[in-house]
Amino acid sequence: MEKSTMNEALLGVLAFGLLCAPAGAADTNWLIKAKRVYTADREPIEDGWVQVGDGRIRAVSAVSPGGGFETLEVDAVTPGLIDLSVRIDLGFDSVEQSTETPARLEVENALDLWDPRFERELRSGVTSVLVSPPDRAVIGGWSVALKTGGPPTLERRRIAGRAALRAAIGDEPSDGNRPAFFQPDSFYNRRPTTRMGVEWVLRKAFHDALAARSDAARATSETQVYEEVLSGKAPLIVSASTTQDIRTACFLQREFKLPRLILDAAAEAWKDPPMVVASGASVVLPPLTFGGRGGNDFAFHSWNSAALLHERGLTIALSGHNALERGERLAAQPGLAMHAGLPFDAALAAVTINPARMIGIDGRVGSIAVGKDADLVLWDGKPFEPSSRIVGVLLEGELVLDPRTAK
Amino acid sequence: MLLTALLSTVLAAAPAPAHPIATDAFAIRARKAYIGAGPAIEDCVVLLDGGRVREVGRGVRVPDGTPLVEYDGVLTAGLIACGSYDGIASGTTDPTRAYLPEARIADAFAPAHPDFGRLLEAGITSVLLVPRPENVIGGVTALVKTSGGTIVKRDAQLAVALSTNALLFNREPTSYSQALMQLDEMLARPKGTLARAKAGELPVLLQVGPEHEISRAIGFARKHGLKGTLFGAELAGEMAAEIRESGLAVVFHPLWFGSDRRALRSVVALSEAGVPFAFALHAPDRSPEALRISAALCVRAGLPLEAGLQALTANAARIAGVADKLGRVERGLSADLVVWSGDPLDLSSRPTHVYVDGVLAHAAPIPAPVKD
Repeated sequence: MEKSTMNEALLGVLAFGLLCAPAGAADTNWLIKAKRVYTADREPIEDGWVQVGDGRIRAVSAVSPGGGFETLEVDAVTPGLIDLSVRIDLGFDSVEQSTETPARLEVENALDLWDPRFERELRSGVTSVLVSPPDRAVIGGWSVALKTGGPPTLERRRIAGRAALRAAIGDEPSDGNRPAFFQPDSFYNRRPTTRMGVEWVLRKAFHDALAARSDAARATSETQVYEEVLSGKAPLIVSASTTQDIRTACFLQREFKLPRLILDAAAEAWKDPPMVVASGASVVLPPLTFGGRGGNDFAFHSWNSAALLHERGLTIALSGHNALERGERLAAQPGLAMHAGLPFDAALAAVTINPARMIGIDGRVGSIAVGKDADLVLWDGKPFEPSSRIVGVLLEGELVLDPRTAK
Repeated sequence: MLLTALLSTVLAAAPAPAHPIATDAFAIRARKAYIGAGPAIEDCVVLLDGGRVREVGRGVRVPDGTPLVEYDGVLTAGLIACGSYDGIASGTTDPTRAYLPEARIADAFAPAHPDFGRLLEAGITSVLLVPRPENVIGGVTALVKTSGGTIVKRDAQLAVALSTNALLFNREPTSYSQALMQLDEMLARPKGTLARAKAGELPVLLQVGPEHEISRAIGFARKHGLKGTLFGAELAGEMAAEIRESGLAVVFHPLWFGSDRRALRSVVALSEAGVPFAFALHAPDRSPEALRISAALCVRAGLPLEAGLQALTANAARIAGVADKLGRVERGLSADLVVWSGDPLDLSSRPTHVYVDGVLAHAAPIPAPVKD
């Protein structure tokens, strides 16, 4: 209370110079002192300092940058975590099912930013997420990269509007379809009803887009969308869990030379790593569960899959699927992967800089670097260790979880 | 209260006077009246002529020879239910088509339906008939009188439901994003009612639910420069600043005794932000009394009494686009008047006399107490 009054007084003094300073802007100025600053894209800094001003990282150094801001002292600081596979949507209202390829649609128009699951992610350290349309269409449309907190408007929370195009291979996209006997009674009387059909829809989409390159008459608003993926302007994030679905995705990559393929929920990617390596795809792993089998189509997810794929040189990201279980949350995933052999640095990268790079939002988030958003997680011990807790979360400099009261 | 009861008894016991006919000039005197904005007027006289109000106020002189009817009650403008399904026995929605921009509810209700009589008895003299929010564009709403079913405004608003209720699993669109894209495409080359909405001639009634639907609807209205009202936006008060900026009004679903305190506080907050609002009724699913009770519950939660009454009268008329005809007791406006046995938002009050266009359309004097 006293601090905020003081800061308001300070703000009053600064107000002449800061015409557009939002209310409470002074609360986004902090000095963080940590025994270790894990930058995620460079070497960690022992006994380091991170200076936060106006929502951004102003300085990262081994000596105090000063600045007169209030100091938060913690054991460790990491970048805010990033989850490319949260499913915080409105269910069937977030995916168009009247066609198998509603590719032009943007899922950002079909989300609930008041959904309390966003805040739960935020308070457990996840500051950025990729939200995709549910996998009920083969090409479900554009996924959106969002911050998990802040005013609930797209203008304020959106990091990238067309961050990736979402596709799905497997059982889910064809699940509701059925052949028509006698008279069709629904728009679900259609193909695909099988995995082969799903593959055909995907191949046709990119085939049409390639054809449109040489014949303008064949260009449609949909082929324009696929062209963005073919040209590498946007990544294609494909949900593919089982080996057969991952193979389909890799064949698709080979045929159409997709420059930026992301395999999501790729539980069985560990079964044939050379195939995935050859495709140049990066991989988002589903949450490691205690049961072994999980995710789509009961794919078998091995505990050491993250370590195994990392050793092969693949770029991996871990995900939490906004699970309710404490042990399945994103912040718990690196610990589980480390338990099965993934080195700490790779585990940290897999929840920060890797996912940021995969969807091209690393200019703003993903590491502790000067000029990036001050999305930070504060720990009371070594990050991801079972004995460590998240004691603080900053989102664009705003203290969402306060380490002074969390202890 | 006892005095009122006694006086009413005297009034009720007196032989019913031959009531003047509407086309003639006559006058009503009431113990108290809420005529529109502002506090109540004690001992108020209303001069009526040709079904309209000619003069109103305390101490208005009644010309010699003009009949005067005196009531020991409280007079208000007739209440307006800002959204209801009365007089439409069935077939209020078309599940096969999501977009019905040329459907008009004015062409699809029964003016003599008994639903309307029940509204009249509750002091509701006009009702905004709306399509149920089960099509993305449900059609055009209409404002009708409950006495005789006269259409006051045939094209009141274009009903657009950016609501999960309009997203069926077996009909295009199944998603918010597709609904928005289709609406965008229609408004890029608008025809008919959509062209009139885009030109600002026909307001929109945006049927919504939770915060994200409110937010989406505001963005949609802003993008296309549409004017109108958010309908069913229960938590609008929590987004009052954004709504005020949008210039949209709000119609709340009717409230009831079990209503969430958060919903009641939302109404109070919206009122404090100066956003005009009214209440829907959703009769015949809901009791006609739900309209008056909605305002009363909000007053109990902190809404000023006058704001509560205006939501049922002047603001409802404004939202329905008939403020030049209805909603206030004012010179030139229709003489739709209700005389209440007590304060209109008191639970124990009831309408004793209801005038529509100056005609006594319903009278239910309080019966004399039963003697042992």
